[in-house]
Amino acid sequence: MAGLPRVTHVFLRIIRYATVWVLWKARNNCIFQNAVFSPDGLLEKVKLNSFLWLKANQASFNYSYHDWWKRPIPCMDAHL
Amino acid sequence: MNKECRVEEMWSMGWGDGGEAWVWRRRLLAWEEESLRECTILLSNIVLQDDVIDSWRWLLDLTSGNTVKGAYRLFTTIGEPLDRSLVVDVWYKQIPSKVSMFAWRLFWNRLPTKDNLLYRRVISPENVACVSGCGHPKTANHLFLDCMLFSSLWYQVW
Repeated sequence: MAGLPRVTHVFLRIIRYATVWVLWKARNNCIFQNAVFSPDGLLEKVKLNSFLWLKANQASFNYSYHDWWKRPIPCMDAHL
Repeated sequence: MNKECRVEEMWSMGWGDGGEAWVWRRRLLAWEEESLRECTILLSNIVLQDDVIDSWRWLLDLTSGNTVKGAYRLFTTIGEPLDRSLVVDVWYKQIPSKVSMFAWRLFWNRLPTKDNLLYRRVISPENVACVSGCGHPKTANHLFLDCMLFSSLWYQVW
């Protein structure tokens, strides 16, 4: 992480928040919908959430969901 | 005695200890004497000026006045010590505000996790086990970091 450029840190932070957000939503789903917890699909949700947040709030983020899904690190070079 | 008296009149009569501004209908009780003493101390170094218009002042920042930013700084620099870098990092324009708010509550341990619900007597002690069924009581640290089922996501993310 220390070796990565500064702009990358913002992306990593977004991913981190997406992760705690997804975990909390999963926990709520277990408690309030009586769902059985399964870690499958959570990673997908982290990718989708972080992508949608960036797409909506970061004008310079021009990558497709496929790019982000497959190779997120190159997408992080966008200028903030 | 004179309830209609103005601040300016009080001041010119003298509101120091034993000043003429203080006239009472009856003798004061001991606790009232005490309050009066405190009041005269507060007033002792106040000087009224004719040529200055009354206004509110925000003592923490006299130049720019009361701002949300100033108040935020006040509230985040006092209180329990914790990792400052985490607090500052919460507000980012790319992150939806509900998520920022959620992260803020997480860092301050203000989420309604089961241990917090128990502490506030919302749930009873037999209900504190983590929903994943791992048997630990659910605290924020446990949910987001320790619990094997939940934390497996972190390894996938990285």
